[in-house]
Amino acid sequence: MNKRIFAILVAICVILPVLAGTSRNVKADSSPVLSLQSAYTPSTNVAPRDIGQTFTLKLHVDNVTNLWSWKVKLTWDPTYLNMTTDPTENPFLNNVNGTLFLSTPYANTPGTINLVSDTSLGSLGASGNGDLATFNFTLIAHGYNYTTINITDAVMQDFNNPIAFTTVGAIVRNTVPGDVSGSTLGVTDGTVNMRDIAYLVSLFNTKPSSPNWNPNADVNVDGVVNMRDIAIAIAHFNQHI
Amino acid sequence: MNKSKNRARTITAVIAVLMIACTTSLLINRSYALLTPGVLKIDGSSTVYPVSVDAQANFSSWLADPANGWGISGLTVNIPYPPPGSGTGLNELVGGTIDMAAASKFPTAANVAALPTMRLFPIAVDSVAIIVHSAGGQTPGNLITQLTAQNVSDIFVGAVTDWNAFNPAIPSGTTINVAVRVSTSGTADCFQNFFLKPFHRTTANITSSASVETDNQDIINLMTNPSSNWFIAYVGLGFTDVVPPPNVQTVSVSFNGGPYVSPTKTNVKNGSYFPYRYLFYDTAGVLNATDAEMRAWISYVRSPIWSAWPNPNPIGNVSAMTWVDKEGYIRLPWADLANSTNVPSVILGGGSDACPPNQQNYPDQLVNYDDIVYFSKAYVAAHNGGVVDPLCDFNADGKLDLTDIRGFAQSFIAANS
Repeated sequence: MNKRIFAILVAICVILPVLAGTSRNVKADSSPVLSLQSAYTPSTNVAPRDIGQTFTLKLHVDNVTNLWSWKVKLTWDPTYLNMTTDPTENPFLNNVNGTLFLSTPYANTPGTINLVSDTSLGSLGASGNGDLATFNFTLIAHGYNYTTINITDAVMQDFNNPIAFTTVGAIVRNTVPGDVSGSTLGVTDGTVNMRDIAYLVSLFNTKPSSPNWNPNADVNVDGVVNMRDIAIAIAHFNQHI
Repeated sequence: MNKSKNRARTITAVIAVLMIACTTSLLINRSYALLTPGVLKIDGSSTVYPVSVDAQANFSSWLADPANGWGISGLTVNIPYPPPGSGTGLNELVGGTIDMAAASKFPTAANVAALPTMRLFPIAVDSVAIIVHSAGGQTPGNLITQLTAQNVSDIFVGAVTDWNAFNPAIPSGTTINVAVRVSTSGTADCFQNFFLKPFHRTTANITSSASVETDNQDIINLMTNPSSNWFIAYVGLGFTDVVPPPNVQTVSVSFNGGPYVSPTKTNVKNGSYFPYRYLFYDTAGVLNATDAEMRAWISYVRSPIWSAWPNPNPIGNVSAMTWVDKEGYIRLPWADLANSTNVPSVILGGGSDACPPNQQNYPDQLVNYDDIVYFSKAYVAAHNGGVVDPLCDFNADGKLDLTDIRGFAQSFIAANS
């Protein structure tokens, strides 16, 4: 009997902290996050591309409650990227009451769009996860690794109070597609040549769970280094910055 | 018997319905909020006065036309002449003798303490120009075209009294004659904020020999008089910018050791000429459903359509000239509704200037997120049965609807393009 009680107590002592930890994790996971999302994996990354090619990012919110209004400022390095169209609204907030979606002109300030905002025209807000706005960018120059698009001056609020949240910007790989290595293994050199092909071959079939995973070698940002990545490198063979 | 009973009931019901209809009609048409029913009395700033008179011309007939959304007939707008100045207007508002104060300054702390419910409705930005009498009997003419802010301050407090100190071509012993506005005026307040306070002086330090004038027009009359030799004065920018008066020249001013900058609307807007102040209509409190005349007046004066001069314009024409432009003042972007900071303490350094509590509807000459939130909340409030905020009623029809959203958005885009 005593042994049984002792066993139960031990079990409780083990299980409770685990449950508590789980609870903390869930709570931590459920705090609102505002992020720029691409169509790639991971979603905050954008694959390398040719100069002049465009890509789309969605401003996305997770785990929000009663979002009534939001605003962001986006900044990026105008050496590599241009915003090419006015931002457009996504229906997450608009579905509730109709909205007032406004943005400042992107063309006036290279590297920045000072204000993009959306505000509900009713007192109720939107809850859950969803896309808030869509942005289109064009790559205008190649670089040696990556460039970022950052969310700054962001505000989210319900009708009466600000909402606390974190932000995650986007990482845009700006190398020549296929440039994954140079004279130092895994360090890009601005040129696509046999070093890159060999490096991709050496990492063939690696995934994020692989011990030697290098996300930079995942040229098309689909979560695995395979023939598709090698094909891209071959297609850009001998191209350089 | 039953027939006669039924007839009596019917007649009683009809009479009751008629009585209710009459009472409702009286309630709708009656102006509870005005001190004298049927009269909207506005008094105060001589700077705001010309804009008020422009709006007054057609306001009553416009208000009476149901097509404009109000249908309030028989209103008289009483704007006494001469205007006594902002300070007097604010005191009259606090004392309950006028419906609305025209003011070219923030209320004093005493005003706010006496009437904490006071609301301020911004309509424009103005500045103060230093002017000198430049011709007439002066030999030679006054060749002063630029002074530092310290020079101006020294002149007005009597620390320097000889024009020769600023121009050797003017004979030594040429006394500087100073003209100022009464200390309660908004123009005097603006002069104090930018030419006296930075040098630890106030209007109380003005030289006792100064000629004290009641309003801006009195200053202009004095300065344009051919016999007003060697006078210097200050005046609202609007009184020099539209039609530069004869015999008067404006003086460029250097602030904080910077370049000499002429007092023009462009220089005030770009911040190179420091002095500026807001022009307001102030009310005794939040405007309620029964304050239709005052809400209509404020919407009308600010409206992109109705304030357009000389003729009404479509709401999309955000660059149309308005009464504010016509009178030489700087128009605020129509969508500039709010400021998240406490403007007076930021720009004027506190002192006698005060904000009524719990207000955010000060402009900041920016149209940004503060304004979007302000407008959206006003829209939501109006659609939840609240009163229409006249600052947001762009077509002045007493409603907040898609037309106003369009007006706000167009003003936002124009201000940020």
